[in-house]
Amino acid sequence: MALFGGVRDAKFLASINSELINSIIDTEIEFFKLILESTKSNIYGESEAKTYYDSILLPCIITKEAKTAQMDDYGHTYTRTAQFGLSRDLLETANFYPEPGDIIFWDNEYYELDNVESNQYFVGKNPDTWPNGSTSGYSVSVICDAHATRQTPIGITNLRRGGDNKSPAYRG
Amino acid sequence: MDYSIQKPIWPGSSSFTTGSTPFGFFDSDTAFQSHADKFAVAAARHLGYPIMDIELQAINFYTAFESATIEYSNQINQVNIVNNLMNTLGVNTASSFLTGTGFTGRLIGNSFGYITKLSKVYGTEADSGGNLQWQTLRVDMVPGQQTYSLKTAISKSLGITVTTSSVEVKRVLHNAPPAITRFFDPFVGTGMGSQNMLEGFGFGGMSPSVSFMMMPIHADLLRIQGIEFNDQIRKSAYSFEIHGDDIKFWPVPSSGTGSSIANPYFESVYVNFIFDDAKNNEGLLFGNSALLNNVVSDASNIPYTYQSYSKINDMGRAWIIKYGLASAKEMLGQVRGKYSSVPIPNGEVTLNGSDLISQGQAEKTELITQLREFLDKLTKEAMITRQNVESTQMMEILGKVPLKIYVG
Repeated sequence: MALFGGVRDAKFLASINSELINSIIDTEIEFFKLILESTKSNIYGESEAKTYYDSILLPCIITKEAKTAQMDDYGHTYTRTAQFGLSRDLLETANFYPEPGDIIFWDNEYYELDNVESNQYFVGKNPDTWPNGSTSGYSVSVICDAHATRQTPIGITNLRRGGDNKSPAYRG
Repeated sequence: MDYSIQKPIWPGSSSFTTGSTPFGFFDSDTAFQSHADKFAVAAARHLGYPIMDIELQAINFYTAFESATIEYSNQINQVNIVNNLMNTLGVNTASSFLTGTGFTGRLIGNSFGYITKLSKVYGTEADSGGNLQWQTLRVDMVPGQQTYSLKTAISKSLGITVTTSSVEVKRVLHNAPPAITRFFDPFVGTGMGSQNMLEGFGFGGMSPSVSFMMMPIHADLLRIQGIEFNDQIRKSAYSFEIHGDDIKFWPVPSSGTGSSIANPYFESVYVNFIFDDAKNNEGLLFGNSALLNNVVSDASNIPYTYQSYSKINDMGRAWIIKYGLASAKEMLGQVRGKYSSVPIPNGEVTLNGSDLISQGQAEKTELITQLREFLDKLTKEAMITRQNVESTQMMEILGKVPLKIYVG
């Protein structure tokens, strides 16, 4: 058994992460999960009308890049990328896993997920895959790379209007 | 693995049970039990709870509380030991009145025991008492032989074999016969020209038993001194020399009967001595082997135990709480400082571990310094000095009170 990075340390990190994300940073995104089964696609695998589950609120750490202006034949527009760092503990608690194609609404912009990655490990060990057992290491986060979409994706209902924006939020 | 279960953070309340502290010195004290939980709440709030999570649990706070109480007791007892060790040296620690808490919480009076024991050692050297037994050996003179072996004489006198043990000769009983044995009683009016003087006064011819002459005592002393000077200058002196094991006597022993002053005779010489080992033991044990075991001998075994928390006054408890808070702060710093940076989603964060450690240590040092300065004023030495200053000042003040003028 490794001397460092045991379960006690992992729980300590989890509590620090939970406090930091929920109580100190406290930025929540509205997450729309794509319903793949209800989304019809054409022969090219494209879909004109996507279907999403009702949104949930998730606290996360956001790295938002600057806008990049674009001028082409269709007129003026911009692009922006962002990274959404989600606590893996929190996602486990919510029984939720983000996937490419899901939509995030934050700061009056919609982002479509391009890539989802989970390889930030405490002491370099993933307790789910470490051959010596799950008593060492800690998988810290799920990082979602996303880009701002050009328009509000079809089929999204904005739950934030007129309701309790904290429900159904998941807090660690 | 669900990392949300049993998170290592303070839950907000606790319930003290016996055995919650590492040593359990105060666990059965009801006041300590009550204050332990209150201390945990106070310490957590001082550290930021409930605004911030505190990565400590109840047992951590209990540990800090216990260690603070131990430290306070330790500081108090150090002063107690400084005050009372000299007065309690040699006290039997198995005495019934010491069972339980020993001297803790008890008033220790003064004793001259140590000083008396010390003076006895001086007494041994000055031949005015002391603990050590003087031994006596006898050297049997052989006519014509001046030098003798001390060890041989000891073996013969005490019936023991002296090998490596050395001795210290305290006194050699080898002196000329006292002058008084050769001094005629002046009252009888004979010798030293007294008779002529009596004749001059018309008192001659009287019977010695009825003719008396009053003489001052210094006249006797002068005559004795005259005899001694005569022996010392004109005759062979009674003396000796010691070199290692050999003792050499003067005058040369003869085989006479002692009737001839020119050829004195002495059959044996007595020598008082002590064994060096016995002297060393006297230094270790004050000459009393009963003081070897189960007695107060130094700061390590003077029977002071931890103070009873319930009997510590509020001032002391306030110190304990402050010190406990500093310990808890340092403890939290150790927790937060184990890893220099903590991973968070898509980044890292540095916690305030090092700050908490340095703050906690500084506060503890400051508290101990403050307490020591306070306690140093309470030693017996300091209190007597202060009392002296107080009485001196009081005399000065009273000296300025106007005296009443008596009007008859």
